[in-house]
Amino acid sequence: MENEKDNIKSIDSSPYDFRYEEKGFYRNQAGLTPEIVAKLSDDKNDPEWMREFRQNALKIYNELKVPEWGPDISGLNIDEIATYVRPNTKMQGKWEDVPDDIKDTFEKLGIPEAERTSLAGVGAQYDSELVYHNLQEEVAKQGVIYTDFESSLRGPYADMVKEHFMQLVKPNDHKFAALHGAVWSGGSFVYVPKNVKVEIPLQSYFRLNAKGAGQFEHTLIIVDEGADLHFIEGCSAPKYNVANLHAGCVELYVKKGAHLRYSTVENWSKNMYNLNTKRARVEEGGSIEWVSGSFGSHISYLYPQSDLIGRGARAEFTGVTFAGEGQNLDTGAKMVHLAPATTSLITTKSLSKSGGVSTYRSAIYIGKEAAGSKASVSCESLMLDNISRSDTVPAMDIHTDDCDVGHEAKIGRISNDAVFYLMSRGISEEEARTMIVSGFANPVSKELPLEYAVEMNNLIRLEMKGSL
Amino acid sequence: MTENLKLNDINKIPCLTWNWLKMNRASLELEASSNIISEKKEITASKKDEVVYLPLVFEDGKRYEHEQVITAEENAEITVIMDYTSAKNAGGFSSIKTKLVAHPYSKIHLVKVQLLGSNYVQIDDTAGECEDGAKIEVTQIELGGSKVYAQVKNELKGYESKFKSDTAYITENGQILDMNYVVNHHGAKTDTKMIVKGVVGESSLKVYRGTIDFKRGCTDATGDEQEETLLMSPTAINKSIPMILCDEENVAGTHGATLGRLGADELFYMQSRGISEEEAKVMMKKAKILSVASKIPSNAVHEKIEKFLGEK
Repeated sequence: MENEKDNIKSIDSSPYDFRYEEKGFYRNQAGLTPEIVAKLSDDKNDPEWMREFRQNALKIYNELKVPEWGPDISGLNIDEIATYVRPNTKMQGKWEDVPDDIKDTFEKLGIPEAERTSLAGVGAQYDSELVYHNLQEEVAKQGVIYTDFESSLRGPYADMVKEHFMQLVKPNDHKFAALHGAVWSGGSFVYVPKNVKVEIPLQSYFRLNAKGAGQFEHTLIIVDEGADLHFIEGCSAPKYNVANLHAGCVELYVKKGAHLRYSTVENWSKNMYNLNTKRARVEEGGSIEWVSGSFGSHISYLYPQSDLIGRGARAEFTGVTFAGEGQNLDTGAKMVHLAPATTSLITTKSLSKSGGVSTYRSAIYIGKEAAGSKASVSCESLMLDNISRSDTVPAMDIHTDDCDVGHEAKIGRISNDAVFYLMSRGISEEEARTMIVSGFANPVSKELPLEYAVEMNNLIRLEMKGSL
Repeated sequence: MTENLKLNDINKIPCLTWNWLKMNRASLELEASSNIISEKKEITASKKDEVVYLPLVFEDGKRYEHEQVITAEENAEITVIMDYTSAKNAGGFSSIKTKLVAHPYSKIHLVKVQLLGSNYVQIDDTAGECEDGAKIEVTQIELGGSKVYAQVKNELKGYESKFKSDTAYITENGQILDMNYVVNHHGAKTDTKMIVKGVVGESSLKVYRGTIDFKRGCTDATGDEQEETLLMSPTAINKSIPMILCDEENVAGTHGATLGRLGADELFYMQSRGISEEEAKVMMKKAKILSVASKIPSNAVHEKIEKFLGEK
């Protein structure tokens, strides 16, 4: 029984823990120098402005320091990370044309099936490049653009992309935003025209198969006035005994009266340093909903930020973080109110077990121009054993009197009474605790499409196995 | 030419966060001076119901360093009431350091009432330690000064030891009030209750950092912190960071904060009784302070507070 429990602890990511050889792949030299970045620009045939952008971003990266707060990332050595690994295929529009090993990867992850049953479009990235991209014809006819990011730099939307690229998340924002600016590769550009409602979600899935490598995809979404979109991203990687790095960037523009829901189920392997930056800019009457499930990574720094710049703009963040053995997940959200009558709501749930460390970190900023704004934060943390850790670090920075801000937080353990009640109904202790934890995470899972809610609950179930 | 004295890491928070929020710590620059008036007092309680009154009067243009060590022996109980006063527009600098040692089953109630002149700068540091069954209670009122940095740190080392704090403040007219409360739970069944309430007025800045830290081994510990802030000016700035740090499974920690201005319903109710908006604001300000002042067992101190509020 003891061996089974030990084995179970280490197979928590087994459905995702498979890998393929890099046959015929191109991998750049590990490390970060102007020459390596220039070579990347050559490999990607960057327009001139992007070449300069990358080099400037590299300079900023070298000037900035690692933050003095947050989990220790001294185990990450950028000199040992290959920032570009290109699979031996071009991007395809049909799964049949994708090489077998890569296609099998995404089949195992359920992506083609999800596309067939419930998605309007899919972008699948393998290491540093997209290998598959497709958009349903009916959605394309509505004028929706969903392309790989590299193509968007040269096509009819090149000027729009250039105007928006890394303007929300600037390279000088922090060290890993600068890193992203220097070595980004892959990702998607989405544009939804005015008043178009995309009824079915679009999805991007990111798979980092390479060992000792980084993934730096860039996602830029512009939802024009009155439009509506649900975008889902998922990610995973096999586990290695060396560090991998994810420093992606998501920039979301929600125009006047538009609505965007951005859902993520993050399940990177437990050797991953996940230093991701996500930011949304919401104009008058617009709204953004973030739905986030963080289950993977060794170290995570993840705080989607919403800048509410137009009157009546609204943002909502619902997230669950589950830190298990060997994980230190520092997650949360930032809401920045910069216009009158804006509202924000943060609801998070954190769990920690088997020595995991879960930190909830948030910031509510209400500027002096944000009269009549309201913000509410609710964070709950559950400790599942006595060797784990859970911290809550919420901050409120308020520069006007005409606002309403409320915050509440709770930390505790699973109620013995609740476990006893379920066990008295014939449910095993492990199953009882799993049910309680799934219920705890329910506010997040119920916001996801069914397939992803099922995946999230399965991830919780896997994490809870062997928890006794 | 003597260099100014730079004090960094004042009220530094136990778990740092984003630097752009400017909440991790405070800093202060002072003119260097060797002309400092120092005083140290030691108070030891050995019986129950002891009350000691320590008024501190600060003169204009002076610099003070005051230190107190307050010890309650086993089963003793003591209330120490300190108030700091000066002339209305006096300026100067005062540093207060108060150490509290609560031996088993003892109780220390420390009251600090700050009624300084509008140009005074103060750093006020309180550090306590509780043994088994001991209790430390801090009642703190901050009304004056131009820049005030107040810190209260308490170690709940003993089994079933407790900490309670009630803090009230008003800031306005360019005042800065920077507070840092930290309670570290070490012993089992320890308990913390922290309540902070106040008013942030015109052109003033108030920073509140409140940390409950459940250390490994503090089984069955409980902690609760609550903050109520009334914002009374479009030029008021409020920064709050109530934290719970938890390294122990079997605990319960909660915190809540509400920040906003006088509700429209409350205002309407008062105006319907003939109370103007200005009068209503004054009443609400006073109410926040007096609700905490009611815990101070001294009519003389109540009068000082009411007088100061009347002149504010």
